[in-house]
Amino acid sequence: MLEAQDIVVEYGGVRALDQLSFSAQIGDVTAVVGSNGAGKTTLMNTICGLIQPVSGEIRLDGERIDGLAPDEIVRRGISLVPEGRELFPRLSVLENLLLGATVRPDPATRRTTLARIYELFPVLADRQSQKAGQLSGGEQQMLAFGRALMSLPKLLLLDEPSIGLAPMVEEQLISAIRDYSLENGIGVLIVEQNAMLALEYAQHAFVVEQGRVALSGPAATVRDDPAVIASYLG
Amino acid sequence: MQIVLNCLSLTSFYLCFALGLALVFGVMRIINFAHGEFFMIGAYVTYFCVATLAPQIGGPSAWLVGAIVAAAVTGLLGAVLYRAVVVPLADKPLAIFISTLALSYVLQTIVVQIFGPVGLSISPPLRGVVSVGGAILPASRVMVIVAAAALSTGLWIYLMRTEPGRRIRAVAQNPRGALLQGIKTRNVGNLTLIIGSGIAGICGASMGPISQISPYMGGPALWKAFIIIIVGGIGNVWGAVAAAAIFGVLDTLMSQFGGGRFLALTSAAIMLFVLSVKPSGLFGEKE
Amino acid sequence: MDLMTRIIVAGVFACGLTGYASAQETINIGVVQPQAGECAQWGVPITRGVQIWAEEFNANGGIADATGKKHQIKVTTYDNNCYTAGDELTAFRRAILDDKVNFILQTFTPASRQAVAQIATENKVLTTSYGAGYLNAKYPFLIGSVTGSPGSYMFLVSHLLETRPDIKKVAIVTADHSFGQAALAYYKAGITPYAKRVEIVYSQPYDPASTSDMLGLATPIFASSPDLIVELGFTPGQQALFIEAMEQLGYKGLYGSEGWTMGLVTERIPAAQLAGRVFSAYVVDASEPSFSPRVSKFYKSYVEKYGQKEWSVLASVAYAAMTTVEAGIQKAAAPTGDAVRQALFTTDTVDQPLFGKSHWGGAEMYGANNWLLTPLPVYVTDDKGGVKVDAVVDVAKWWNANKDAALPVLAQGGQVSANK
Ligand SMILES: Nc1ncnc2c1ncn2[C@@H]1O[C@H](COP(=O)(O)OP(=O)(O)OP(=O)(O)O)[C@@H](O)[C@H]1O
Ligand SMILES: [Mg+2]
Repeated sequence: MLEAQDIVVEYGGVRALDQLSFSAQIGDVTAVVGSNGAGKTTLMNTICGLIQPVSGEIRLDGERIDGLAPDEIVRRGISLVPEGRELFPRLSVLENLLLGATVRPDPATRRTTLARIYELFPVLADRQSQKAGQLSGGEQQMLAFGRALMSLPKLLLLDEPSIGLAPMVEEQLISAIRDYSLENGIGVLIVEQNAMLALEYAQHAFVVEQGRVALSGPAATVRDDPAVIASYLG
Repeated sequence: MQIVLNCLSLTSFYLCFALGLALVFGVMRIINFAHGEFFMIGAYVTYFCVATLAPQIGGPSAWLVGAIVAAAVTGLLGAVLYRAVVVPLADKPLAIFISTLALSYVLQTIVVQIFGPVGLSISPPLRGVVSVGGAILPASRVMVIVAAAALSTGLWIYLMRTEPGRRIRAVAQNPRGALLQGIKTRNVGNLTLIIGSGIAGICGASMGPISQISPYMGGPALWKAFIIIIVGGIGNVWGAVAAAAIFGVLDTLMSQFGGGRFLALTSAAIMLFVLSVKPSGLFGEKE
Repeated sequence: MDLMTRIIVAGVFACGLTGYASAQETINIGVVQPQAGECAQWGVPITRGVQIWAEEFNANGGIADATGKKHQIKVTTYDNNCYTAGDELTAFRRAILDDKVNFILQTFTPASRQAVAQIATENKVLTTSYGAGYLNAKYPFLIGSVTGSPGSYMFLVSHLLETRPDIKKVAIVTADHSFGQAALAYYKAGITPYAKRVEIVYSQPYDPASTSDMLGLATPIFASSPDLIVELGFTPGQQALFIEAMEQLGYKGLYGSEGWTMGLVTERIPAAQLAGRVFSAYVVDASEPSFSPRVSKFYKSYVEKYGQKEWSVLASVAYAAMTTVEAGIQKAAAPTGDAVRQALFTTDTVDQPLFGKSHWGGAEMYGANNWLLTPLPVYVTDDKGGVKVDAVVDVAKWWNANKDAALPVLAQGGQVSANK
């Protein structure tokens, strides 16, 4: 389980996260809903160790992970598919995937993980020696997922994975990820512009407003909340 | 024929020098102004080893020891530079630039204090001359050509075929993305600076015997290397190789046919032209 | 005047007098030369040459003027930032206005000399150099102490052509900067009297930055198949690399330059291979014992003090330049710039302590006879990497015989300022 308690993050004195607390179960899909600038990306980056909170605690299965370096957090099992994907455009698809396995050096593990990812996204296998920058948007997103999965995460963080994708592709990707997480017992924390879609696939959800959790609960409850419908699903 | 050999030999000079700088610049986007002084220190370390060891173990072995020690010393300097300058001043490229400039003067002054301002010469470890189809190639130049070729293929294999090399390329293309994969970008930066600086040291060791060594030899070499990496495409090590070849041929032909005094001018003009027409360099990819 | 005023006036007067007297005791000499940076390889040995010259006198109680009064010599150095004209002037201001020097040794670089001509002349500071360069009737305090640069280039090449009739083709290898351009003109002027039999087969100036590739530079020179190569602009290390490249290409002819650092050369090419083929002529080379016992002794003290490795012919050049000032001081009633200048110019010759009787010359070139034409020893290498005297050129005589041929060439090369 990932738990965040009272985390505060500031950018040059301005609060982006204001004593935010939430928890997410490994094995479940948890959706994060919020308007632009609410602090969702900040939250994801803080969990990954890219940003250090000013105060508060983050725990993974009871152990504190705030203050750890990003590579240690990846090693402990949290992997982020960031906003904008952050691929290595001039490296091949295969190289991108292998870099995802930086913290899992065992060659046999790498081989089996790679095979599973190719099974999940067969197009990546076909394109494995092509440069990442030459892939289509959807393929790039698959690569970003695949790369994140190469580190064998317990918890996968997805920051707006569907941005710029056709709705069909979007849905395919999200369901593929959900199926994969169910099969492998991985937790997913997903931030989506398309809140409807995210809430459909998620078991749990919470709403972030101005750096705070405004509402949380089972996805179905959140989906039916009148305020949520008015602000995010209308 | 002699001209062809001269082109080859000059290309290898340029390549040898530009390689380390292109690597560091490409991966870390920082300009190491002390790179020229690392090269100079490599030459002085070799001078010292040859002068003290040659009587006991012979010129070639003394040179080899010199080259290894030179790589070690400059690699260490690279590591120190990383810890002392690059890490504390991360995100302040101008401050890094100024600090490396300052470091270059400090190193120059130290060498002047130890070895004096007057240029020295490393007695060549290999003396003979290889003749190829009526043209000659002094053995010490063959050595530079071999060194440059070995360094570039070695670097190529390292970057393209090994896991640490792959990490270096990843950091070069997307440091943030690399961080998210669990790559210790700091270690990669440190490693890059060590390798780049070590190459400068080896280059100083191999160029030393065929050029005069002086505490001030780094400056002009650095300038030419800048031109080469800018023309070749910033951050593109292979572009630097191509640009080194272009200038190797061009400069040789110019000195051959009476344009020797315009060399500095034409190089600078070509650089400006490339910058204005294709700012990413001839072989550079768009960011 | 009341008593108080008188006492004050007397006191001030007394102080002034003693101050004046003590200034008379010491001769302040300024050396304006690069002390740091790349050019220190030239500036430092020059400075040391002057210092040893001064120490030789100081150890014996000082230098005696014409009245028999002995003066200690104090040498102060001023950096000119690698012969930058602006810094030359700054250095002169400090030397003349702050430190009240009487004499200055500086470079012969025309731009640097021009920059200080005014201040030196106004303050009557006798400013000399190890060669000619921006001499001018308007500035009588600017002199050239010895034949030196750039005249020696002309005398060297013509001496070689005169004594070696089998030389038919000459290559001139000079850098593309003002020293190099001057050298090119002087080398050409020295060849002109032999124009009927000698051809200049190479004279392309090179970019000093391109010297990192000596083989590239040497290839076209070798291809022009010269019998004699005259050079100016290489650093000592580059000279060695140049000779190495030429020898590797198979060159068998002669080399000439103002000086060679043979230690560096013989590290690459066996001395025996070069014996009798490498010539130099730059005022005097103290490492050669036969020309003058005095400079030979100077050489020994230099090497004792700084080591063999630090030896540079420039030290002897500076030392020789100071001996002309020395001759003036010994003939002058007081060691002031003005008195010494007058003493030196009372007749049109100077009894130079190292070179013997030497003529003032330069009028045809500079419009003023402020250049002391000291006889020029030409040195040639032996099979041990040392040098011996090949001949001593009577410079004044050569000039009289050949000036008609040489002057137009020098004028064309921009080296004649007499009629401007
Ligand atoms: N690097 C930064 N420096 C300063 N302020 C920042 C920085 N990044 C984000 N912010 C601010 O912090 C707040 C939260 O931003 P964040 O990117 O986390 O929002 P978000 O919920 O991800 O928005 P979106 O839906 O638009 O992606 C915003 O007010 C934003 O302007
Ligand atoms: Mg966001």
